[in-house]
Formats: sequence, structure tokens, C-alpha cells
Amino acid sequence: MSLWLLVDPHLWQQTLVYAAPLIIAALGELIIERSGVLNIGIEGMMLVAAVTCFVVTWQTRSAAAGIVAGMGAAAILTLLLVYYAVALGGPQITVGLGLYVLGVGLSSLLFRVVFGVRTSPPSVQTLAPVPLPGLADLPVVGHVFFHQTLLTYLAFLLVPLVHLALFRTPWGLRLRATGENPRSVDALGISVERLRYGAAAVGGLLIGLGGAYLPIVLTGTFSDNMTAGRGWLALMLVIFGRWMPFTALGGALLFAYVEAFQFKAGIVEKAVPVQFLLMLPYLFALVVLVRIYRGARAPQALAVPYDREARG
Amino acid sequence: MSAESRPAVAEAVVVPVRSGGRSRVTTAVLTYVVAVALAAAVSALFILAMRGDVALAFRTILSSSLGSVAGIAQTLNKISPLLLGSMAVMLARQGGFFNIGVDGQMYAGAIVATGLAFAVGGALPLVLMLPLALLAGFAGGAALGAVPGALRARWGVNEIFVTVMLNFIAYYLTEWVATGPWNDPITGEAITRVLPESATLPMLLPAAGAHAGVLIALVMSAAVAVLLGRTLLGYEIRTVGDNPRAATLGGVRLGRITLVTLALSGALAGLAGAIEVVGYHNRLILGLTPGYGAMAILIAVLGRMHPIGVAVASALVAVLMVGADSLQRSVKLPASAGAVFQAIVVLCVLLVEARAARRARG
Amino acid sequence: MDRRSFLALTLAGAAARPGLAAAQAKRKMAMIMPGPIQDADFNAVGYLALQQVAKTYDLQVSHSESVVVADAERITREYVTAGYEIVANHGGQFIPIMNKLAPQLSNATWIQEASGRLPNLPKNVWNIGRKFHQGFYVLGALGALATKTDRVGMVCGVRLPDVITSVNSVAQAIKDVNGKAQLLYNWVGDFNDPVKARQTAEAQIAAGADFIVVFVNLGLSGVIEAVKAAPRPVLLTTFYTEKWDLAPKNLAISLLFDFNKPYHEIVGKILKGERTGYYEMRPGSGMELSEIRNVPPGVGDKVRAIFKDVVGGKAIPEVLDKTP
Repeated sequence: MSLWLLVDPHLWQQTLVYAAPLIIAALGELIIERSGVLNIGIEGMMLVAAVTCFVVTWQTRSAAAGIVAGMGAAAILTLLLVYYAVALGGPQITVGLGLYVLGVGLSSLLFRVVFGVRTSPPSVQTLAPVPLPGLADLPVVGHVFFHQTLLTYLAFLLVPLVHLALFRTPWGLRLRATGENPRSVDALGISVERLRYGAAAVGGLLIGLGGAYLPIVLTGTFSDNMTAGRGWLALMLVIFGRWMPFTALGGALLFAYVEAFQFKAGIVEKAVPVQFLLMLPYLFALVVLVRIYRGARAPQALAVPYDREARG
Repeated sequence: MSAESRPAVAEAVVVPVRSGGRSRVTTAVLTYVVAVALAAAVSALFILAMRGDVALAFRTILSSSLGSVAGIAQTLNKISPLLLGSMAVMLARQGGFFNIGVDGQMYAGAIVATGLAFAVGGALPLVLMLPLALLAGFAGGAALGAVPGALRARWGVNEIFVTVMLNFIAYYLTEWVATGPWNDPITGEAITRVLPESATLPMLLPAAGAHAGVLIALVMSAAVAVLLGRTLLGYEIRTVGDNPRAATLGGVRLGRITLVTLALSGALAGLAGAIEVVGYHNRLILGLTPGYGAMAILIAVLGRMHPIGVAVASALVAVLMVGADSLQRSVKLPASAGAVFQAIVVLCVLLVEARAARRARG
Repeated sequence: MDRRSFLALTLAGAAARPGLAAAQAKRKMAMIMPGPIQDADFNAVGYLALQQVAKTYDLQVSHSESVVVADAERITREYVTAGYEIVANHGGQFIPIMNKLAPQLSNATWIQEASGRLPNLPKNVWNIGRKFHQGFYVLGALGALATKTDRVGMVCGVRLPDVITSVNSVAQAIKDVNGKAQLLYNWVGDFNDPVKARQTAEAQIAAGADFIVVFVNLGLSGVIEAVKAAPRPVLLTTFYTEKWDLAPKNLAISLLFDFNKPYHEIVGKILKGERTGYYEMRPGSGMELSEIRNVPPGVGDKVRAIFKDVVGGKAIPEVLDKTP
């Protein structure tokens, strides 16, 4: 197996395409966690977004309608989680898990109810790549970077956008404060609940976008459990990225690279049992996470229900 | 999440009901009654929306899991992994940790038990092989649980993500052994050969198919309760879970407790995996755990992180799981409807509980 | 509700429905499936065969889909206790359960699918042996004949015996038909993950493949997307059902599985009292070729001739212990 495989431009192009849903969902979760709420139901929410996007696109023949519907569906679930967390002070991790289980079942059920039994699976047209004029013609890099779908471009644009929103706007400042020390925010007369609901809405929309990416860009269909653990990966990427957008992007690219590499390697490498190759991205993520974890600090008030009457 | 925020995170999962004494139990029971009623109402609406017969559905759920010896037997079988899994989660939680890796640890225990059985099962009598196999499962789960434990103890790495990643890794490892070296080719699936006879759990209700795993689960649960309530180790674990800084000041070695707690938690899950292999399937199959890990966490919370509560909740969820699946055949609902139904029930219970707790806090 | 009132209610309900007496005269058959029947693939064809058999033999039928092995025993017991005398296991993962229950519940008859002849078959079990590799030999031959880059790809799901034998027979076909062509294959790790299947196919296309033999189920849609986005025309195969509308310009052929054939014959025999036997599902008996499209003229005829040979008994080695 030649080392040239590592720098194959096709590999980089694959990395970008498959990192995109991860980074979009991770950015959504990042916003939610920065406000102090821990949402571990991402996987279920992405699935619901995926099926909603697929069904709506199929009915309306409009990818845009499907994407928006998918984003909305995920946002509803995220708001439900934050309702539990904020209005009821309830157990976030458990409710998140409950929503995960609900999302898995509901997505499968919705698909079944809409489409029933067929001998040919329903499908929609996926988004076509939009080459950026001029840039797409550059040798090597042109095809890798500038020949992607609009959603893929958006995924990478979102990283600096979210960074700016979190670190350069008043809203972002208040949001981060809510995650670190909600009492101080409350003392200023700003509503902690409103900020957390707001973060949930924005974050939920992004998680939904990440979920919708899968059918509308990659497969043109929906199948049960099609996220295959990407929601959990997004959760991990937030920690990996130390709750910062650009570092999370690095993690997403790394993971997608190893995954794409594994497929290429699988064609020529036959001595290693295939399951060990399939484990590679997860092992890799684990090892890298351990290496860079030292010093990673979560928002202080993460997963702590804010109780304004409580003392201290 | 840093160590300092852990006690607060504990609150995020276990909602304490701050009313004292006897009324606490009454409140809890009332909460459950209301919760179940709400869940039943929401589910009825849901079943109506799916054009099902609501009365038939509710009858089926109970009759299929409890209305016949066969049903009870299968419900008992299901209690074994659910109880052990939720005990694992509860034990970790008492130390302040989140074990989301029960599925992976079940597979790890199952793999080690299967391997040992294939290696020496032919040469040993049942009375030796069976305990060894169960012990192997215990050890396999402990080994996998020790990984997040060690990483947390040494470098403060959050165990949620380690355990989630290990779930995938253990799954692929199982896929390898079940399709490669131990595969039974005639099945054409990711299933191993049959285990030797000596590695077979005795049956509780042979005609109905219930194996003795539920007894083992109950005994181990009692052991965990004793460990937590009556031993020094249990005390240390609970202190760490309550307030790690105070515990350290009190002389508890945080790193050691972290490792031991998560390893023990994994061991319980690994034992559950071994029981599924030697009791239920007599083989190691991919799909040994159809999501028991997630249900275990939900059960642990429903049981308020208390051994008796967890045991009761396990039984109830087993009934629910068995019953919900039967909806397919009685009310002609698709399979996914059962999962949605279960999730609705759990979310309703959580909702009512959270509201009650909020009110109790005043 | 206690058992007595439950029983009373059920009986009252039964008495209140006049048609029930007549319906109760029907014999009952159940089918257990590992996946959802809306997959438009393996499980769907099983479901359709069940419905067809119900009509032909006037049976009352029921099915359970997405059954995980952990639940199969309970579900089977439920069916048998409810009077279902025929239980069809549409998948090899249920073999251990069949082995356990068939001897115990001897008044029911099983139909069990497997990769071939099952050892120690209980006296009340019919065995359907599905010989995938024989059908895939023909698909491999088509690939070898149709490829212009001399690279045939194969997207394989999980590394299971059926798939291993099929990879080997595809490699064999390529050797027999076009010595210059090379087989590029790898394992997705999942039959039903379209995203991973797409990545697998893209890797093979990037390595030069212009014909892909597909051995995944729901993953097919991912392979189709990869093919549609490919820089050169790529053809692909599918199996179980025809799926032309998914990729009319790229699908070349489908290896059709007609489960009606084995189930029709076996259920007929069971109803007459013959409760055990072996049915081999292979090219000519349950496996057929669809039309062949999008390939150069003449290739289709050659492939049909090869298929006829296989039907007639051409020996295709069933290699299980290694892969090319």
C-alpha cells in the first residue's frame, strides 16, 4: 500500500463532503452546550430531521422545503429538551436519552407510515455540486475545494460565522456567560431562560441541518438509523474541540479523513480483518481525544439546572 | 466536564425529592401513578392516530408479557440484562460517573465468556465451566470498564465519550469474531458456533424457555446494594459521588475509586452479556443487545438510583418492552411503533417526575 | 385486568363476530423477518411471498418485521401458542432459535432459510438453501464483459459466508471470461448503511472501476449516488428486486429472487403432510435474471448463455475459507 494514498486529492474531497454533516451538527450542539445545557439526544434529532427532510422533499419536489422542514423538526425536539431542563429543572442526560430513543423509533415510523410497503424504494434528487466560477478550474485544489454542493460550502462557512457570533457579538457574550455563571447574567436582569431557549432554537436548527444533509446531499433516500452514530460523534467533537468552533472543525476533518482513508485502504489491504479497519476512525478519535483532553474545560454551568431561588 | 462540576451534574440526572420520611415514598408512588396515567393517555392518542384498536393494544401489552407462562418466561429473560445493565449504570452514578457503555461492555463480557467456553468447554464439566464462563464475562466487562476509569483517573478524560466510542469498537470486535474465527457458516449470519454443552445455564422454566439468568441478576443486585450500603468501598464510592473534594480531604484515593467503580460497573454489564450467551442463545450473536444500554440508563433514572427502585423499574420496563413488541401482531402496528411507544412512556414519566420535584423544591 | 375477565371479553368478542367461525377454519402461517418490510428489498420480497401463499392456499397469515434475534424465541412461541402451524424464518439468523424450538414445539412446522443444507435438520423443518454465489457468478461475468477500464468493483456488506462465496465466484467469473480485468472489492461493514456504501463505491470508482457488483441491501442508494456523481459512466447491478427507476442509465441487471417459488412448493407440501425437506434456491429455481440494459450489444446474449449454463448445472466453486 503506497504512501501516496495519504495525499490522494480524492481523499481530501471525500473528507470535506463527509465532514460537513458532522461539523454542522457539532456547531449546533456547541451553541447549546455553551448556554449551559447538555443535549445527548443529537442522534435521534438528526434522524428525525433526516426523515422529515426526505418526506417533505419527496412530497413537494423542493429540496429547500425539505431542508427547512428537517431543521424545524430537530429544533422542536431540542426545544422540548430545553423545556425539561429550564422550566422543570429536570435531568438533562436522561431526557436527552429519551429523545434519542424517541427519535430513532419516530423516524422509522414516519417513513413507514408515509411510504408503506413497496418493491422499489422512494428516492429524491440529491443536490448537485455547484462549482465556484474560476476557483473550480484551479488544478488539484479546484476539484477538491470548489466543486461541492451548496450545503457543503455552507457547513464550512458556518464555522467562522458561529465563532463570530459567539465571541464578537453581545448575544454570544451573554450566551457564554449563561453557560459559565448564569447567576451573574440573571443579576444583570437578563433572562437565563430566554437565552437558553434561544440557544436551543439555533442549535436545534443546525443539528437538523446536519441531519438533513445525509439524505439530501449523500443518499437521496432515507433508511432506518442512517446517521450510524454521527450524532454521538458530533457530541464528542464538541469536547474534542474544547467548545470552540475552529477546533471542532479540525476534529471533524480528522475523523472524516480517517474514515475515508479506511475505505481506500480496504480495497488493497486484505491482511487486516475488515472490522479492525472499520474500528479505526473510532479508535483514532479516542486516542486523539485522550491526547488533547488535558486542559479542556467545559462551561462551568454545563448540565446544571439554573434555579434562581437556590442559595450559593 | 471538569471534576468540580460533577456534583452539580449529579443533580442533572437524579432529581432529589426533598420531602422527608414516609411521605417521600407516597409522593413517589403518586408521581408514578400520575405519570403512568399520562403516558397511557398519550399512547392511546398515538395508537388511535395509527388507526389501531386502543383497548386491544393495552390488553395485548399485558397479556403477552404476563398473560401466559411463555410470556412470563420471556419477560423474565429480558429482566436479566435490563436489571444488570441498570445496576451497572446506577453503581457508576453513585460514584458520580456516567456509564453510557453498557452495550459495549455486554459485548466484551460475551466475547470473553464465549472464547473461554470454546477453549476449555469440551474438557470441563458444567459445574466448573459455567461459573468460569460467568466469571469470564464479569472480567471482560471489567476490562472494558477499566478503560474509561483509568483515563478518567489519570487524565480527567470524560467517561461519557470514551464509553460511547468503546461501544462502537466492541461492536466491531464482536462482528469480527462472529463472522471470522468463530463463525457458524450455515447460518450465513454474524453468529458463532454453538457453545459446548457445559457452558449452558440451567433453565428455570424449561418448557417455557426461561433461564436462570434472572436469579443471577437478582443475587448480583442484592450484592451491589450491600456493597454500596454496608461496605467501606461502597461508602467511599458514595462519598466520591457526593463531593469528590471532600472525599479526597477525607483520605479517599480518588483515582483508585474512579477506576474501581467504572470497572465494577463494566463488570456487571459484562456479566449480563455472558448470561445472554450461555443462557439465552448458546451462541454469541451480533445484536446480542438490541439497545439494552440506553434502556438501562432510563431504568436507572426511573428507579431513582436506588437498588430496589431499579429492580422494580427493570421489571416494569421488561414488561413494557415485551408488550410493546407484541403490538405488531395484535394491533398490526409496525415494529418501530413499539419503540416510539416506550419512549413516550418514559418521557411522560420523566415529565411528571420533574414537575413533582420542582413543586417539592418549592 | 385479571385473566378471567380478559378471557371472558375475548370469548364474548369472538362470539360477537359471525365471520370468525369460518375464519377459524383457515390454517395459519407466520413469517418472521429481520428487517422492515418497507425496504423494497429482501424483507419486502419475503412479505410478498407470504401474501401470495395466503391467497393461493387460503391461509390466515401474520408477519413480524424487524425482529432481533433476542426477541425471536418469544415471538415464535407466541405464534405457535396462537395456533400458527407454519412458521417461516426469513433469515439465517433465526437458525439457532429454530434448532431450539422445533424439537420442543413439534406440532408446528418450520421453513428455515440458510446458506445450504442444515446439519441435523429436525423432522418438522423445511430447509431453503440459498446459493447466492451461483447467481453472483453470472453478475461477475457481466461485469467482466462490460467493463471498459478492466476494473470491476464489488461493494460487499458484512463479511459473511454468503458474501465471501460470492466474492470468490465473481473473481472466478472474471478470470473465466476476461483475464485482463481486475476485481476491486471491499467491505462496507453494513448491508443497510447508504452513506458508508457510497464512500465504498466512491473509493472503488476513484481506483478505476466502471462496473460495480452490489451486495448490499439499503446501501444500494448510496452506491447509486456515487455512480451518478462519477466522472465516467459506471454501471451497476442489484439483486432481489428490479429497481430500474432508481438509476435507469446506470443499472445494468438485477438478480431476481422469487421467494414465491420455494414458498409455494413448500407450503403446498406441508399442507399435505410432508413436513421436512430441502429446496435449493439457485439460478433456475427461485433466482432469475432481469433484463440486461445499458451494455454493448451482444454482451447480454453472452451473459444469458452463461446463466443457462449455471442453471444447467455448471460447477461454480463455493469457496468459503479465503477471499481473493
